[in-house]
Amino acid sequence: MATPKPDQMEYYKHDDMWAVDFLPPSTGWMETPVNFRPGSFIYPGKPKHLEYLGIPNPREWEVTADDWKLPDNWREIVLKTLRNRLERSRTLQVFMDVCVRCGACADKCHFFIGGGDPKNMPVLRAELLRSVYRGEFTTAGRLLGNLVGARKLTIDVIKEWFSYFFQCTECRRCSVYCPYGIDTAELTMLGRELLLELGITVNWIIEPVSNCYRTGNHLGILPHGLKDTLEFFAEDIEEITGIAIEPPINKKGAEILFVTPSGDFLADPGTFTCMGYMMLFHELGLDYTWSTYASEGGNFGLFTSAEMMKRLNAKIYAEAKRLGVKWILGGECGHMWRVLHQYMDTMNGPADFLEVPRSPVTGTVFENARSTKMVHITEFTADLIQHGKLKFDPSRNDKLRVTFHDSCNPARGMGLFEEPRQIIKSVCNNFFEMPENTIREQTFCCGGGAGLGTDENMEMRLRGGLPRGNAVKYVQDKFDVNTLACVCAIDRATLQTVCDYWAPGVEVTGVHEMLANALVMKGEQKRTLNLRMEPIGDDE
Amino acid sequence: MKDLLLARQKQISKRWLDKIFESYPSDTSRFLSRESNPFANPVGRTFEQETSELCRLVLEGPDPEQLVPHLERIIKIRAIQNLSPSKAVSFVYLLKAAIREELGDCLVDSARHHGLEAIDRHIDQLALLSFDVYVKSREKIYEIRIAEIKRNVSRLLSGSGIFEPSEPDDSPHQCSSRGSGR
Repeated sequence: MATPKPDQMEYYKHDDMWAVDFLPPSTGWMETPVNFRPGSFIYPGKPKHLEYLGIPNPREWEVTADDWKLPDNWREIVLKTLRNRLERSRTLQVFMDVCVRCGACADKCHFFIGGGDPKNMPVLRAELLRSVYRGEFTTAGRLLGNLVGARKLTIDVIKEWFSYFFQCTECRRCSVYCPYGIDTAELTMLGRELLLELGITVNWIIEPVSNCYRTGNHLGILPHGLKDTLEFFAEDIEEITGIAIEPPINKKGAEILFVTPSGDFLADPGTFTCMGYMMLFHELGLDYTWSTYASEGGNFGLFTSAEMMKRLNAKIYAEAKRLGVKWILGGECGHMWRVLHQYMDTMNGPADFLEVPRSPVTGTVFENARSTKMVHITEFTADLIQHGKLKFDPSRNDKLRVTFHDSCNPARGMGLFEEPRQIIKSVCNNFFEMPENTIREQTFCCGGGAGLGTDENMEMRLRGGLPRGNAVKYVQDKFDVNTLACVCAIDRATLQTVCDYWAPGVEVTGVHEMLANALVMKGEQKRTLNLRMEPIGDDE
Repeated sequence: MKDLLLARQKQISKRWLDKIFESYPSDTSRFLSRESNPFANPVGRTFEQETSELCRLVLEGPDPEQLVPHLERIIKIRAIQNLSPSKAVSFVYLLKAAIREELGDCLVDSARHHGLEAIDRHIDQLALLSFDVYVKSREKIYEIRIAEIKRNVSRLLSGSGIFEPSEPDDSPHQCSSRGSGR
């Protein structure tokens, strides 16, 4: 009789319950098969989305099934794609050959630290791929096999790749410690590309990609829907401040195009951050516009394939050109900034039709964005504060005792450390840092990045979120911290859940939500409510 | 017997902890036991701190109320580590083996061996409690999963007029008050 799977009742049958052993599997990692327990994997991509995007092998399939319905020549497809990528990218070839397995990265991954599965050690996760590279492409590997850490590509290897490349959030914490500078996130990206050629991906990534290709944003919000949403925010803002705001949409000739992740339009608490942007821009009298087409800063193409990322990103420059703006401002988001900062220029630039960004309020020229022409909102706002252009009443945030979570991509992908902190310290009176080895370039991921932020893999996410949750709990116990600020839409959605489990009582906020609550606006009524419609101060 | 156990408490708790670490794959076990920074190795250090406390309480004669918070801190972690329910709580029984190993020769004396029964009963109580705590942790996971789904579509829910998300104060089990009550 076949061994029952964890999602079958037989798995828990009485005899087995008695057979608890206290020891780990005695087999080596290559011989230990993947255990797909519910809660530890994400549902497969639906065929309609694969079809829409032209991805091969669209079909209904199940992760726990034996047959993943792969094409007959699946092996040939994967090896051909791997060979192609090795030829195309010198970096990949180096990453394959140069690792000496020193182990510097081994204990740096949040999934390994929280879950204890050795295959989540970045070095071993990369070995899942490297072993096949050795076994299929090197002479030593072909001859000596296991002795030199080589193996052949089998269906079990494909399943293993699916499990572990979708347990990596591409946060790049491990890369910080690698003496050779191997970017393990890039290996995960490659592993996912190989799987995609067989039609293997997860729905939580591919549906947003498909939506984004069709409507411009991950959530599939159509132009009138976006207009309604922004107007709805404006109504709330008027109720709170007494100030009527008319959000400019698709305004040709505006100076600045503003692009933010679409999660901010629909999901709390991102919505409050979005209202924060609107209030700031209104107060400054900024000549800007929203776009109903470039209505997504995020780019789940990054978690799919390089080609898909380029395809989804193209709309930003295209829309900037169509609207005739001078430069682009981007909202609080994580992976969005890895794409914009590191890939956009190469993929879809040069943006020679735009000007080097210059703040119309302070005159500051953002030299760092000379090439991409796109500035991060916290750079823009921190510059305003530096020049004393904004007036705040930080006491409105006195109920908050705040710590700051450096979002992986802005921190490690673009070195954004000080700007958000400067804003937070200007708009609230109680700020406390988490321990040094959990912030800035050493920050711990929320556990939900790179397309893992859905709910069916909740158990997996909580494992990944453990190191971050642990650091939050520490400042909660020590400094009575009750608020976790961050500059990422995925963080705003997933860290609340991480806190609910690991540090209950701590709530997540965007930086511009806090800013807007403290912002003293011209002609505003006495503020009694914050953006969440909760009373400010003690007179509840 | 109790005095002997209390005198060896530190050693027993160390043996227990080692056994728990050894139940993880060898690479993990090495990391859990060696890395001393509580933020780089939250699991190892939490286990160390909490097993030491649990060991003391069990040997002194346990009070369930005191045991639960320490159990919670360990089981909350084990509940999300891709372990079957039985495996997740199995660490409790390792304390029996740790005690026997530490006492070794002393147990030849049958009177002393007899004295172990009381401690074993305490450990069995701990095991039963750990089952409660495990289930509570798993329930919490489902609860926060639903709360997140509601938050993610908060604007749709509140805008539809069909369903108004409950106010924070309606439920004592509300995970997150702010952000879900719009």
